[in-house]
Amino acid sequence: MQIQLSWIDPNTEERREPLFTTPVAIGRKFEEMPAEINGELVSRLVIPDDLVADYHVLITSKNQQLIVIAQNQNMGMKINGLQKNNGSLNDGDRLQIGSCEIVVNLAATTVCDRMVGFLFKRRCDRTDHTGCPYCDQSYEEDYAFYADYGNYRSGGWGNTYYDQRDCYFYDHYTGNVNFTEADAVSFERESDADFEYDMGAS
Amino acid sequence: MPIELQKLRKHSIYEDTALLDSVTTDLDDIVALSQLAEIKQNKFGKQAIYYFAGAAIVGIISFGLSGIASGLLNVVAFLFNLGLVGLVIAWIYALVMMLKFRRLNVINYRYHLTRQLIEMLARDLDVKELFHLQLSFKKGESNENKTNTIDHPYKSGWKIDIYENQWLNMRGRFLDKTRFVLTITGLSKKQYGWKRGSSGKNKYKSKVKSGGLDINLNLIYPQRRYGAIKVLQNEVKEAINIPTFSFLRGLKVTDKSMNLTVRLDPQLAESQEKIYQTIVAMFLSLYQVLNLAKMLSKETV
Repeated sequence: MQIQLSWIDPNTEERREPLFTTPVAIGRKFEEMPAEINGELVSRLVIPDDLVADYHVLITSKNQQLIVIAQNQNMGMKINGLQKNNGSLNDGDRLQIGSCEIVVNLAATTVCDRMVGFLFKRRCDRTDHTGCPYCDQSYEEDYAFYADYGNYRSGGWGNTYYDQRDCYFYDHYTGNVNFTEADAVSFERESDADFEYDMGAS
Repeated sequence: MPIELQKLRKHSIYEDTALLDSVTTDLDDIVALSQLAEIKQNKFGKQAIYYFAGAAIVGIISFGLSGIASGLLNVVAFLFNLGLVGLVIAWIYALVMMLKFRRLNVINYRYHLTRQLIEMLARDLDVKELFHLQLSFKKGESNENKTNTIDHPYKSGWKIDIYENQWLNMRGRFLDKTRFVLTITGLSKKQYGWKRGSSGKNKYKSKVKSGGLDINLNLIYPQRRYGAIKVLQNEVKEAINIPTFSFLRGLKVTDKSMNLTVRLDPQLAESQEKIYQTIVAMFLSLYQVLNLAKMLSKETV
């Protein structure tokens, strides 16, 4: 799980907003924090503050839930202003370690934006592409049974409707399909004089 | 759920309404079962021939020995008779087993086609929805498939039975909430009657003729998504693009559903590939219309 931590550096007073992949260890000394936990690489964040322990807290994820555990019980931490030794974190929670307040944000998960589907196209929207049954499929052979499937270009079926597709609107209250924009465009093109002439006016 | 072997053997029909994975697994089981039955049927068929040949040879020898009256040869003749009885029993057993496995050796192209169709449809199916499949392995000319009997137009005393065997019926729902029903019906007719031969004897004759396949596809779609279908209603026929070896039998379009029936020539009625191609073209033809209808069905805010 990816998280974004935002805080103001106590020494430089610079705003920091790096993106980390859990687990994340926070402490004062880089070498005091573990490089690996249960086979997972640990992102290590160093905060040079005397009130922060050498290895202060560990933020980890379990079942899509973010958990923070204090490694130094004496120094503890605050979650949204409440003193705690461990607890869960939600998007936007404030975690105070020493004099440093860190805002935790869950990073937006990237989703697949490829169009998939055989009969009708839709966004894949899968977050995990490993062994994706949709993204890797090729339908070329089956599409050969309907040449130009999905195309409504000139000379093909439905071309007129396709070209004017932006003019059609469906009203779900009445169930009618309106052609409002086209009417407006035709009014724009036609001057009042033309209209009257067509109507047989002198 | 495991397939009901007794039901399949007795009625030659598989029917279930379950999740797609379950139906697919059942079909795979039927494939494996049919292949095993084919092997066993061949094995017992060969055994039946060997036992019959053995029984015939032993029977001739036994008959020859029975004419000789000698103490030792009588014993040998008795043993041969015993062997003959054993071979006849083994022959009958092999025949019974062969017939038993023949019932499980179902028509291959039907389940292969069904599997192929499910694979194609699964790309757009909601896997959490129930899927209904009825697959019959029965031959077309059975009494339950008989729909009508008429007099032969020019052979006096002869009749014609008309059969409609719907051997596939599948129903499901796509991810766009469109429901579909796909059926395949085999058509055939049998003419039969008594015929006087050149020697003057009366012989009963019958002849079966295939009428091809009727493939019917019905789509029931959400009006809100595809409401503009009414604009295209009169032009849907021109969007139908089916293979040259099949022809359009019927097309009905309403605000809520489309029904397309296509007939396949008799000589292709058992061709897995041609049936598959026709069905894919039918689905694509109707969705060529629906996809455009969707573009025209943007809702007013």
